[in-house]
Amino acid sequence: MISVKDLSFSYGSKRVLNNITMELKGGNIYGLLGENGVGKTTLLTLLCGLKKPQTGVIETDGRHPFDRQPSLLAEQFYLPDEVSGLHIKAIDFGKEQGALWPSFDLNKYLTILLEFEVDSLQRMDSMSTGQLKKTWIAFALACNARYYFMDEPTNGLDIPSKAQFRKAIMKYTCEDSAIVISTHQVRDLEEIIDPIIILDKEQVLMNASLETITQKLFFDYGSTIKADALYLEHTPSGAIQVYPNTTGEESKVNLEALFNAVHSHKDIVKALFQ
Amino acid sequence: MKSEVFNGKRFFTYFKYDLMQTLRIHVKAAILIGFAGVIFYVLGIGFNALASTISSGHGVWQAPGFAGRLVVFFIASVALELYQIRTYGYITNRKKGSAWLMIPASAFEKWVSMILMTLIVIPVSFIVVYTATDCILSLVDPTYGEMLISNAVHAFEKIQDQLVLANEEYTTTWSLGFMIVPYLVGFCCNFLYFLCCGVTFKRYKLLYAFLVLFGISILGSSISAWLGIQGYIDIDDLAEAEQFIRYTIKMVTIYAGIFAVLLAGGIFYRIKTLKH
Repeated sequence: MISVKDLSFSYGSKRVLNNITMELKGGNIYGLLGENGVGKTTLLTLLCGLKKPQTGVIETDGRHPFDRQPSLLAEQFYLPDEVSGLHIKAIDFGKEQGALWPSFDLNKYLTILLEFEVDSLQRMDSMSTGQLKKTWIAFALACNARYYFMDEPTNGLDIPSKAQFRKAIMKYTCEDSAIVISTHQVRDLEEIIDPIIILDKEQVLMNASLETITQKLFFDYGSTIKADALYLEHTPSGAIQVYPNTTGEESKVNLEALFNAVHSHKDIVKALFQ
Repeated sequence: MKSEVFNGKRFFTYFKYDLMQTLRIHVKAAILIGFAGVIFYVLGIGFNALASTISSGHGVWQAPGFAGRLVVFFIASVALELYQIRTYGYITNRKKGSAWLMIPASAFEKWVSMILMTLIVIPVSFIVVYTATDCILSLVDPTYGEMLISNAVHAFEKIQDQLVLANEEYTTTWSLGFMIVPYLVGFCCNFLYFLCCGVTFKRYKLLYAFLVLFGISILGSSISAWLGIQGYIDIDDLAEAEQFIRYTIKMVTIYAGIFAVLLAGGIFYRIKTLKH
């Protein structure tokens, strides 16, 4: 389990995260959402130990990520937004780099590459952005880590690849893995992420499971406009409205509508989920 | 339970990985620099043939002289030292550096491997290639003369003989070992300095490396001058050339040794605290 307590972080005088407290448990795929510049990447890099918390504490199973202890590094994988293409074939990359992760499974890596339609004999520096990203994703999943931190993993992927990514995440991650995926492209990952963490300037606006979200908010896809809607968006087939769930009726969460509702009524939503 | 600081198996796995990366990129570069002697030889032969053809109408096959070869070796060595800025410079790059920091090995293991690559693997590759090509050329071309190292030893002996002739009081023979130790310490110091700059500065690594070097030189000269003015360095006691040279070499070696240890410590600290 990852425990974050009173975490703050600034770049010079610009505060990005302020007194953030939350827990990330195994067996979940967390969707980390937020506008540009609110600190999603910063939070991910703090969680994996690439940055040191200025105040507050992060503990992953009782260990501090910034200590970068090999035992913890072996249990986690950070996939940045931009990955580098090495002057090496994908298969050799798996063999060489994979040896460093004790739980790495080369066969799994090659299987995922095959499913991603990436040629394992192709040199990584001659791959397209999407192919390169898929190679790194395949590598990450083959590491059999307990903690994954993925920054915009679907960036650069074409439409079929996004579906392949969703499938691979569901199929190839351990049941007790905690996966944190930061993304702007909520539609790409709508079907797999749960719980949802919405970051705003310096604070966490929401950290809740889809079940809790549907208990507190109702997503109405009908055409009757409600006056108390927190968010309203007209669509070709009618409208999407989000409003407080007063009846306990279940609805299907639309992440984009949720994100916009949370942003336009921060205080109301925060109070609802406290 | 495995140690979080050093574990033999984990270190060996990481070292093997690091060695593969080094062989793939940096050893290739070191080998290329190691061919500087051959390139100079080919150019020298061409130049001599051309010059003799122009002056006398007859092309003469003549290899470049010892002095030129020594200068080329010196330039190649400096190029290899400067290259250390590149070997691990990528760790300050957000993309590559993040991936490197997340490799499951301790900072100490990464540091040991880095030092071994920088001080042994890369220089040895260079020396082996340089010496091997030098040896081959000395065997196949009679105009080439002796190998660089034999030439250097003979030159060193000649200088000693000249010193004895010039100064009757100069009787001590300097052992080659006495000269090699400062050379090795200096070599370690230079390599570690450029490695340290490579892993410390995020941009303009070479420029900053030279600026810092310039600053250190000014500081060193100022301190020496101040010590001299204050009378801490008793010039009268160092009047004899041999004694002065011995003293200077000893002191420079000691300071370079201390500096090398500090640089190695600085590199470790940088790895331990590097953030992305």
